Formats: sequence, C-alpha cells, structure tokens
Amino acid sequence: MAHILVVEDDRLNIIIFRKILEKRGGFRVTHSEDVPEILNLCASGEIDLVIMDISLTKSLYEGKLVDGITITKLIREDPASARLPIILATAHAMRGDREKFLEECQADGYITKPITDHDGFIAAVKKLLAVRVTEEES
Amino acid sequence: MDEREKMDEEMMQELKLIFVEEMQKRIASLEQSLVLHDREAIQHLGHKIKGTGGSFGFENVSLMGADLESAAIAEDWQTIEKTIFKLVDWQSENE
Repeated sequence: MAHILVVEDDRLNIIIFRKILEKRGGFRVTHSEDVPEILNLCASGEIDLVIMDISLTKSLYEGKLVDGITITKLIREDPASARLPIILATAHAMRGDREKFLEECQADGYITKPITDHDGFIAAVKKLLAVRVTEEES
Repeated sequence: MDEREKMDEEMMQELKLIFVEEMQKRIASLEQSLVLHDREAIQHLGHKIKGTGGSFGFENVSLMGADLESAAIAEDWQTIEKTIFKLVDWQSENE
C-alpha cells in the first residue's frame, strides 16, 4: 500500500485529503506540518508521494515561517528525497501560477483546491506513483 | 445504486456534515472580522473557504469565498458585507 504524506494546515482540507486518499484510493496517509518531521519522513524512504499545500501558516524552519514551495525545495536538496513525487496543492488559481510554482521548486504535479473531481485526483496520484515504480525497477 | 455509489453517497453526506459544522465557526469569525473591519482576516478566511467548499460538494460556497477574497483585496466593503450575508443565508439553509 502506497504511503502518502499530506502537508496541509487547514483542518477541513486534512479531512478531505484523508477521506479521498484512504477511503477512495486505499492509500496510507500521514499528515504533518512540522518541517523537520516532514524532511525526516521524506528522507526515510517510508513515503511514496507528498501532497504539499503552498500557503502554510504554522510551519517553521530555522525559526522562520516557510511555505510549501520552500519545503519542496528542502526535500529536493536532500539526495535521499530528491526524486520523491510531490504534488503541489493550492487555492491560488491565477493564470500562470501553475507553471511558475512547478518551475520554482521542481514539483511533479499541481492541483487546485477545492478538489471537485475526487476520482480525477486519485487518478493523478496513481499515475505519479506508477512512474515512481517504473523508475525504481529500471 | 451499486455498492460503490452507495459508499460515495454516504461519504459525501458525512463530509457535508463536517463542513457545515466547521463553517459555523468560520462564518462567526467572518462576522466578527466585519465588525472589526479586519480586512486581512477576511481575505485569509475567504481564501480558506474558496479552497474547501467545492471539495465537500458546495461549489457555491467556494465561489462566495473567492468573492470575499477578491473584495477584501479591493477593500470593497459593500461586497464583503453582501457576501457574508449570503454565507449566513447558506448556513441557515443547511443547518
């Protein structure tokens, strides 16, 4: 069973991600907003994919408030987690945001909240997980 | 209705209840922020509401959240007030 880490600060979105990913997708889900914990989990090899909220309000790194883009960059900097699939999640839906965010932190995917298409979301997660398995086998 | 559809329907009903309950708190915060003229708090709450409603089957609430966020950025207090009243109406319809 694939293990997904959800980095998210909104109680309602944590609930929705859990429901969709666990009940519909059959995945194991862990939630965290704690940056050192996130980095450790990602480097441990226990996590197969990360859902990363961009606007975070409680996540600190070296005493400073950081957003999901910065955390994604930190995950990428560690060779142990450099290739972990990361999907950015945001309610910012301005034209051009997607490309800007993806390029800035080298994430693999981008979803806009609210998630109205639950099945489409699961399909996107499964697609990225399949790529990861293929890469590991090759 | 097959098993899968039944499960989906049950899950959506459960999610809707969770959302309506949480929105009571968020709408109360909005009303308080309106009294205090706290533009930043309204922008933040509007953004959060925009990003959640549709996931729980309430696309209209996400749209109201988006209206609140943009009105707060534009400091359009008339639209802010009107939208908060619309949310209060939505709440009374969904209690």
